[in-house]
Amino acid sequence: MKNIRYTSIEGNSLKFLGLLGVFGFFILLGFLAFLKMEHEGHWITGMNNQVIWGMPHIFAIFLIVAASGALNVASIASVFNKSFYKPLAKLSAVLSLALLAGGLAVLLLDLGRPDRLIVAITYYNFKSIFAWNIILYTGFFGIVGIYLWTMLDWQVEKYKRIAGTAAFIWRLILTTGTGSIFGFLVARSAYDAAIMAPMFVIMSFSFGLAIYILVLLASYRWTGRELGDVVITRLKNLLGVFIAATLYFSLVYHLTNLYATEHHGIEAFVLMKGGIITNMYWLGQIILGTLIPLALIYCPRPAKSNTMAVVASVLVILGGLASLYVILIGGQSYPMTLVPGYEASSTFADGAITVYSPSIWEFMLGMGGVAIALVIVTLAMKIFRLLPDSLSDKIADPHKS
Amino acid sequence: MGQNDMNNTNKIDQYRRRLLGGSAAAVAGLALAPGLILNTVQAKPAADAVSSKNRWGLLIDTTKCADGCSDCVTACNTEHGLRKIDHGLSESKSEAITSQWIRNVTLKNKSTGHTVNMPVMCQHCENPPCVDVCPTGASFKRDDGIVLVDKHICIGCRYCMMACPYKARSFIHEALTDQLAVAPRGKGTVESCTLCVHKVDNGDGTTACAEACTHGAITFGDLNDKSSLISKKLEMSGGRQLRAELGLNTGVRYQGL
Amino acid sequence: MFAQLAISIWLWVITNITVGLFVNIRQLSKVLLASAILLWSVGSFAASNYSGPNRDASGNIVPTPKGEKCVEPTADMRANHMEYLLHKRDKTMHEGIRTKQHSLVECIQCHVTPGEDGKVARITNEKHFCASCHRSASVTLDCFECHADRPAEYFSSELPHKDVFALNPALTTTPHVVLNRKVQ
Repeated sequence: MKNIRYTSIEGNSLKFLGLLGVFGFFILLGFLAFLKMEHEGHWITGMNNQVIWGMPHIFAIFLIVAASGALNVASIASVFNKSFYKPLAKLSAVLSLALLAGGLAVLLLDLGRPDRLIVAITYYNFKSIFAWNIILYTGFFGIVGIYLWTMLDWQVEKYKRIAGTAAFIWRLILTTGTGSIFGFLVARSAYDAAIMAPMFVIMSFSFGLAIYILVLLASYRWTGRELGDVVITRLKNLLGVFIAATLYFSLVYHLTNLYATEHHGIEAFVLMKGGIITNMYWLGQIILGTLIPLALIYCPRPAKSNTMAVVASVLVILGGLASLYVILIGGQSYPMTLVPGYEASSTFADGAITVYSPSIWEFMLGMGGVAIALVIVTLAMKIFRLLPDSLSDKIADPHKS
Repeated sequence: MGQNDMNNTNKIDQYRRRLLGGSAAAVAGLALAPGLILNTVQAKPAADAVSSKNRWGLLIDTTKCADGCSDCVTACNTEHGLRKIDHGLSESKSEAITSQWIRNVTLKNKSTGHTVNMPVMCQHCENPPCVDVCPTGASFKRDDGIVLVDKHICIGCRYCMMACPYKARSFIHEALTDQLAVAPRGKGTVESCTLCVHKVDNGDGTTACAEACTHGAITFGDLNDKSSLISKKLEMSGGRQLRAELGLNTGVRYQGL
Repeated sequence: MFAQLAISIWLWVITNITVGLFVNIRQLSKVLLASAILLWSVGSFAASNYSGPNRDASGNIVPTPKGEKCVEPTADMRANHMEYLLHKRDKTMHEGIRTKQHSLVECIQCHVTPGEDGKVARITNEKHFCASCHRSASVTLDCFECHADRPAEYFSSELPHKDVFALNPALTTTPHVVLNRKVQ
């Protein structure tokens, strides 16, 4: 562990510029989508008065949730003092800041009045969990920023433990806040559950780590640095635990709902009769996002470790997006009960299941947010010395070899 | 200096208004036989702030709400200048993005087949979830119980729409022009039934929907005033809240459910 | 006006000579351009503030409103109209105080300007009372995204009052009505 040398990436190659170009292209598309939505109004999107939050929110919430999860690797190193994770900590903090920036960009650019950002900052209703989240997000930038500073500057390194602990606590509160956006909604039968908050925390562990693994692998492969199996195996196994925990929370959530007769309608909709929602749940979240990754991670080496880790991480990300689709769109398209025992019908989709068909603009905006996050990480690697020269097995785990 | 001037002018205005308002009421009182004024709602002077002495509400008698009638909906749309904008979208899509402050809902009992018609609008809750969740405080409740959106500080996050158990709120999906003075509304903000707040402040003592209902199914009035028609009707025959289990204490009550 | 212009030019020349002493020619050209832009914008803003009572920044005559005089002295209104409107807006919105003083509707009612086509100027037209100043001062205003930019009497005839949802009959007839008609 002593000989670890952190270096920034050179970032002059055609490949590096090409990568920035690709991200830039998606950011441009996202910006165009924002301008279009801002100019025309939201009628050009698939969102309407029934499905109020759509694709942009799925992307935004995914990125925000993943942001707090991406900090995990650093937390394990600083807070729980596991020296194995220390070389990985800097990237972890940068990635979490980048993902949060990307997610917030999408969330803010989807507002009906994005020009009134100043209002969102100057007028506060402290009973609103949304207002609390604004404080939590900005605080996250500050605290993780300081934490990153303690990791990069040896003069303030002695404060690393404190900063790391503060960041760890803050990120738990932050994801609790994000989950509570849904947990605090008394109106809709799919939400209004305290389990939403811890479920989002555990989801963040899983999504964040999956993204972290991909970014780590990509940056080592593309810069020709050595990355041993030990690191990836360790992270991959950790991912497996998080995937299983997410599955557990999803099961508890649905079992609780299934026990209460009043929730049978929404459960039947999500689990059986919801068409795309049902497919998203079983095929997307459970099979693709949970069972296959678990199999890939825990089956005794069907193939080379790295490839499996990549496939598992990609599947976790896709499954994560699917699970947020189920929570967000599923929860909104199922009608609310106006009077128990009565079927409602009206010109305003009372008692009717709304079909949501997202428009290309929403995807463009969401992908723009992803690209913002990735471009920040890429540039940060060029500017700061984030990654060890080598993470070969010998360096990562001297005891093993 | 400007502030002082303004206050003075306001006071003068207030005085004038009281004088004019008073004499107008006297003239009206002379013109009509006193017995004819059944359900008067006392108008507040224009320069006075609303107070929690009043709590405005509606009582909807679903047994009187006629099948196939949509007079209240039309009246509301006319009163507030709500209209459909043609974007060349399919009918269902177009309907899903059009604001509806009040809508006709048909309820059918799943086991008995009993059918009820009723208008549903913002229920003007005492503890409105939309106000709780609004990050900027744009969603607010006036002292007299009317729940409104302050569009000046609404950022269009739509969290209130997620929180409303009655789907009472609509988002404005496109740019608008030529709004009516009584209902300023514009792209990217959320809106809902205002309980005809302009009419309430004007002392009209009714709402557009209540006025338009020829079947007498909608009664507007002060829930705090025990002698008002709405309070007497509620005392006599009761009235249910929609989703009463949420404990929101709605200002709109329903009979015949 | 001319004094303003002369001082602007003088300041511009002095600044550039001073800066020119310290920087090389290539940088100087950039500085020249930047300072020219800066001075031009400052100058035009100042001009809009100090031009005579009935002229706007570009020297066009500001249209005379309907009434004899505004609700506050002209200078006061120029400086503080936004404060009055903001104060009034909150009073009306939250306290239900609907007096006419400082009400935006009343401003619009009085300050009507004809456009080139003889019809009333809209906010997109630089002859609109609010637009005429706000444009040259480069201050965006979003009042008219929600409020009408002309008095109702100019557009009330265009409103589909009688049949507001004419585009979609489904909105004026509830589903069960359609059903009833079929039965009959």
